[in-house]
Amino acid sequence: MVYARILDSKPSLEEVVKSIEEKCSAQGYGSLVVYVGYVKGVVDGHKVYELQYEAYMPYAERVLRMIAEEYARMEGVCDVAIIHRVGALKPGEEALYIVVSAEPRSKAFRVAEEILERVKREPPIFKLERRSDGDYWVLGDGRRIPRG
Amino acid sequence: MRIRIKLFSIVSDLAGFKEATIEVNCSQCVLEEVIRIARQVLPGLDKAIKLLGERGVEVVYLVNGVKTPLSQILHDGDEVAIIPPASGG
Repeated sequence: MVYARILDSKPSLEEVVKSIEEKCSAQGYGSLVVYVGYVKGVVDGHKVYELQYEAYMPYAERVLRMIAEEYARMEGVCDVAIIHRVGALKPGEEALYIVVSAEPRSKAFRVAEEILERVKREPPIFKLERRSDGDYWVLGDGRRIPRG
Repeated sequence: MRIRIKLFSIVSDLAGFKEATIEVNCSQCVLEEVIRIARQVLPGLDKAIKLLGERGVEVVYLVNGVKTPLSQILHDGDEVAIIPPASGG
């Protein structure tokens, strides 16, 4: 059973990893990849104060679950976890976690990367970037539109 | 029938509200017609969609959380979300 959540607080990554590790290493899977996405401190040469994440619930979480389940069904994949945080996050804070256990390791890396690209554009999650030169709405293609 | 309209991100920022409920009087109302009526009765929404269009941003329509073609028939109590391209990660 995959783990897919949207949280307004910091999750225990250790617990999620441990749970997948225990299940998958017991089944003989040889690799586990963890991706953590952080809020960047500088964008386009401007200091970032914070990112404000907003999600359309419960649908955003359903999309994360659908993505996780799709990959967890793939040949060679043991389990998948996707956790996205919402709310105001400061530079250096963790915003996204993807955990994939698979065999071989090349598959674990590839699946984690594919999930990341899908999480950026499929679930209805939005962000406002507050930085030294003003506030910007960030759109799916990375385009930024000044607020106001 | 009553349709709940929900806006997110830059769409709600430009429109000046996050949600509203509208009454539409048609038996087989498709999403396109509901959007047209919503833009008529909610001028802030119309302004937001126009401004975004001028900036080359196409909004996305979700019905009960699912991306839906404009030809889809809506039902009483449906929720229509109007969003910009998502930006997770």
